[in-house]
Amino acid sequence: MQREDYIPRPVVIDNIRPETLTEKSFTLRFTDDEPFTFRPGQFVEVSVLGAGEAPFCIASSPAQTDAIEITVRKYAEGMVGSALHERQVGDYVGVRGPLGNPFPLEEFEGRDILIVAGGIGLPAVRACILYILDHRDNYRNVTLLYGARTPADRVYEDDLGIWEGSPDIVCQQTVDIADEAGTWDGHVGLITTLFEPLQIDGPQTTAIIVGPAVMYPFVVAECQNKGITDENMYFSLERHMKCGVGKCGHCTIGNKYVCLDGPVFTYAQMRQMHDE
Amino acid sequence: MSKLVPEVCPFCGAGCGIYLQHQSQDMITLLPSRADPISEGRLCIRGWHLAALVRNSQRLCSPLINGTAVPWAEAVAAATDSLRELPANRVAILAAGHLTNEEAFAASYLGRQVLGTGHLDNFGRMVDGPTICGLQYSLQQPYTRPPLNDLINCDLIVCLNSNLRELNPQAGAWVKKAQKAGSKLIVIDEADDGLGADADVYIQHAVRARASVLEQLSRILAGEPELSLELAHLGPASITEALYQAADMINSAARVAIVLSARACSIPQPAMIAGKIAQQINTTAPGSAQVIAIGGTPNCIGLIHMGLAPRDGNDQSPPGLAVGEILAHDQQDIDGLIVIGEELSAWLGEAGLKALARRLQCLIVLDSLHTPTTEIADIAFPMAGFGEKEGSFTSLDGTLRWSGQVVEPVAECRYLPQIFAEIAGELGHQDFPVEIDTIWEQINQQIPGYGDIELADLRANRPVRLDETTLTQRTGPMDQDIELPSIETTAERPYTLRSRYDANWWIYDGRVPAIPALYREVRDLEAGYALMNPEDMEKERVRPGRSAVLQTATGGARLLIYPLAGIPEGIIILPAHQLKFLQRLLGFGEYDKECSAIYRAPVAAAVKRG
Amino acid sequence: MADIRQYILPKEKLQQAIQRLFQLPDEVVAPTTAPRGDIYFQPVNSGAEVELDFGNSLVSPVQCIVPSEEVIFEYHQREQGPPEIVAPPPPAPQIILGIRPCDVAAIQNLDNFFIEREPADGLYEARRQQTTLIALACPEPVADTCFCTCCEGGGLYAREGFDVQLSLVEGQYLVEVATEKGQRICQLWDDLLSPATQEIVEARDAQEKKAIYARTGPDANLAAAIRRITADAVNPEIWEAVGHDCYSCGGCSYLCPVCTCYDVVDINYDEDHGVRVRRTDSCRLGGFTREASGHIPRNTAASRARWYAYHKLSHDYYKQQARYGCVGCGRCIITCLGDIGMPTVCKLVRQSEAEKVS
Repeated sequence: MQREDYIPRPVVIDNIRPETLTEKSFTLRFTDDEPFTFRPGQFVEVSVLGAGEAPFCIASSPAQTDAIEITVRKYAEGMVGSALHERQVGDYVGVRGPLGNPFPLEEFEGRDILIVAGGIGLPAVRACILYILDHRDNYRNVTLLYGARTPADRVYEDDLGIWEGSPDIVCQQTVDIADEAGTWDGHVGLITTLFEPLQIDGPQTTAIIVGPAVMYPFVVAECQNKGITDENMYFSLERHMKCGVGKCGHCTIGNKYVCLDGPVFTYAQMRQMHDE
Repeated sequence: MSKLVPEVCPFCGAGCGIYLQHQSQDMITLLPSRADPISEGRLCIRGWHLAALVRNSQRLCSPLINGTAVPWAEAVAAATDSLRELPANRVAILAAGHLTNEEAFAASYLGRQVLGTGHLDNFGRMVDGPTICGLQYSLQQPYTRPPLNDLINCDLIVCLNSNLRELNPQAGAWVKKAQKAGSKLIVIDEADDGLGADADVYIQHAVRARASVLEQLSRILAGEPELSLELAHLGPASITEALYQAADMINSAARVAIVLSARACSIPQPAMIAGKIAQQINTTAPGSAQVIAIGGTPNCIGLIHMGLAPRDGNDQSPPGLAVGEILAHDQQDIDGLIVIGEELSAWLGEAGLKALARRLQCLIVLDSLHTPTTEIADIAFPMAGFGEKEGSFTSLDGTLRWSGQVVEPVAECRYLPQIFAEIAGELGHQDFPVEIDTIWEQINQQIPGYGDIELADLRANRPVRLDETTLTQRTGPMDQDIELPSIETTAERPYTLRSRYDANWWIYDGRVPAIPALYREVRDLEAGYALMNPEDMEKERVRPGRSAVLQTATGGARLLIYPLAGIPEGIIILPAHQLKFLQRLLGFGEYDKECSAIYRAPVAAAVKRG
Repeated sequence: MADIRQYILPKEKLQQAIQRLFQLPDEVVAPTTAPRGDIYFQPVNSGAEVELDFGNSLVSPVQCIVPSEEVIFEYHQREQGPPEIVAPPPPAPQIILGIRPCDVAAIQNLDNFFIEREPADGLYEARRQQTTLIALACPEPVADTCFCTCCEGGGLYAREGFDVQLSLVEGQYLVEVATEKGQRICQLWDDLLSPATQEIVEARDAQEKKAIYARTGPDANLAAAIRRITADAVNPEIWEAVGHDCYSCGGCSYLCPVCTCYDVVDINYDEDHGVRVRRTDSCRLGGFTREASGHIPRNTAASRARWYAYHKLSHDYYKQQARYGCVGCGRCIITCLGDIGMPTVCKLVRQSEAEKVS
């Protein structure tokens, strides 16, 4: 790595799409001609000069090389997220990456794919879904389970609508609480309640699981119930990552640097971790 | 790269020595000092992050008028125009407790010589006042203490704060060192927040009964009749037995230190009785006992020496107002206010700050950081901060210590006396002291106790002590206005209305017992906690865990409110860092002490109910 | 040690040798006395400023390679187009004179972490390449807090990792040259040096052995602690006890020459212009692992104490970095408010009787 590798590439905000009250999706277009190639599951460090740098999963299709899409939740504590939310179309921000290990989608070829996403976890697996749909013939059954807290908390509603109507993917949604307006006519209940009726060929299935940490133990139990092995459960972990290149030390779990050794881990690997 | 510049940490009264070094651009490096006798190379979390205080994104970089950046000349003209319109003695100056002696002298000069006002005060008195006031009352002379490292020579330490390590980490380290060297430790506190577990004897008493427990100990030591447990709300009956054990230890110790942190004492009684106990021990064995009070501000005593405290009135002039009175919501005597280095919304709440700004004709703020106060001020001036100026602190141990300048003030920031000189110049005072040498010539001539101090000694970091005889001179009567309630009724009740003690030296705002410490904590660590009995919470319509603004006569602060049955009346306020104590009481919560909180602008208070 | 050349420098010629270093364009960084009497490594302009009769400096000279704060880039926002980003100038060459063997060992750790372990860190690598180390061996443990002899690969003189090493043995300096960078220094001293004898080399070993047997410093059996920590066979009560005494001040890791963690912050005084800096961070601070959501995985002092010990003293990290993360310099002992430096923690861990904790 060069001294310059901590310097972000300039990108211009091409499009901003509000997802929910607290989440917005940004299309970031590269202004140099160099194509940006990445693999699903990798992330970028996004710089807002003055506010700092923060990691975000790439939510767009890896087939696109001139721009990426990220989804940003605004937290009171998150300076970069808050600053991004104040940016307008046409403003410049910076990107470093792609960083981290992707989901080894080639290894999943010929298998059933079960994707479980909770809340803000959907952007992290969207690149996966788009890749799999682009290479649909290489995979057997593809199932997406998506759970959000309320109907209004769902992100990528348009995509969910398309996937629900697609013969290529089984897409099931649920919300923890239906809204008061009564417009939600879908499933109500925790994401684990979607597992019960599912027909899964456990040993032939690879699961991709992304969501809040509280969801993991319950989803793992359901997957194990269905006969999915620990080696075939893949997670993308969230940690506080400053540098993205395994140096700053913030994202360590046991002897793993989430940014370098992850963020994608199998459940078997996670069980080996010393810490937490 | 600059030379190493010795500094004294400006965060609390412990006085840890460090070095700063200017590397390049905006890079400032901090180096701990092993040769410094107080810190010996140890620092607390705030000390370790001092370099970030010098250069950070919160710095105020240019003068503001109503929150908008303006050129210097414009701001100076606006300030002088406003001040010229105000009649003498209707303007007040309030300074933070971290000003250097030289800055304080300039502020006092501006107030008394240029603006002709007697309303000068500092916030150090709010934090350290109750404790020092109490000690001076029982010792009958101004309080000076031995340096912290003297603890190593004691064979018994009586500590009144079980969270001493969090209040004054360096003092906590010295207690541990002393223990390792063989000293015994007695901790007296209502709940154990760490130190109790390490103590030889830990005496847990009823909530808010510290003064009564100390009085009981004092009576046991003196062989006087004991207080009745019920009347004094001391706690379980076994407490008397424990106090007898403590008394035995005290009687058999050759050197005893009573340690307390001024940041945690909001009423004078505990310090007063601690002083009395030390006097009792010294009567039988002279010189064997001392009270080591650790101030919450680095220069509270120097600011008073320099004149940043109200003086008694005389035939020519009325008495000066104290900080609580100047900020009181019904204040009618002040039209203009100059605030130096203090964030007022931490004391008043956002609404209180707005109300204050509305009430005043003119609010002028000088600060090195962007704060809600600089935002709301009519005129704000960017001031040189720590490391960007040189100057001295007067420690409670009677020594003066020097902090050097490591880097030029950032952007348009200027040294405080320089800003004042510009204003004074416009008002027709051309000889305002700006240079450190000039300021010290005048300090030498005018300030009692400082006559023989050589600036060269200070600059060369030679040990400099105040003249003891002049130090013990007082500028006013001591006993006047002090009417301490009899001990049976001092179970530290909240909402006792008491405007001030001995305004000449120290104030004590007893309207809510923990106010000075609380606001200090709320400012440092963002939010505190309040415990109320469930009925009162219902009456006030606040829900558990929700934030609410606790409003008192002098201001308000954002607090998270939790129920605690058994509180007879009022509110117990815990600084944010005492969550562990709260957890122990109630069993919930999450503890975090993020380093960046020390230089982040305070969170604005918000009124939320229900 | 085949490729290390050994010479003798008479003690009285040392000052002359030091003075010649200033003929090189390199900045010379050496121990000097600060106003309060502390010793720190600072840039010097003459041999007279150098103070080689010292214990060790409280702040490690490693900070000349990993500064506590350094600029990553400076930026200027523009009306139109992307902001202008300016990288700092490349580092100038420097000689660190008088660095102790423990700090030399620490730099080997850092080399493994920052350069050998991919991806290499450009900022570190650039500075490291420009640095020449003239180590000063310890004739005996130089402070009562030293415990380098308890650490793997540690000792009173460095076996590797230096460019030049000076060891005072029986009134003269044994000069060792290990690298080309070191050769460049020795050329300056050509006429001052004579070939080393086998006797002086053996005398140094004897001197070290004697010092180790007479050791009175802190008791740190790292090997036993490493075994327990790697196996996670430490009673959680031990970490609770360490956490109880920990002030979460961060001092141990700020002074530790091996610690590498950093924080990245932007400092700007107006919206258009600022610098992005990285500054050393500490895993002992409460907010170190805070995520954007506010969740803090290691939210107790005990969990952070456990992590700190695990990172430094577990075989899992040894496998990654080829060294343990403690070189026995003893700075954590000096700076700890709670008196729980590394040897104390190791002692507690060793005494812990818990079996494997599930």
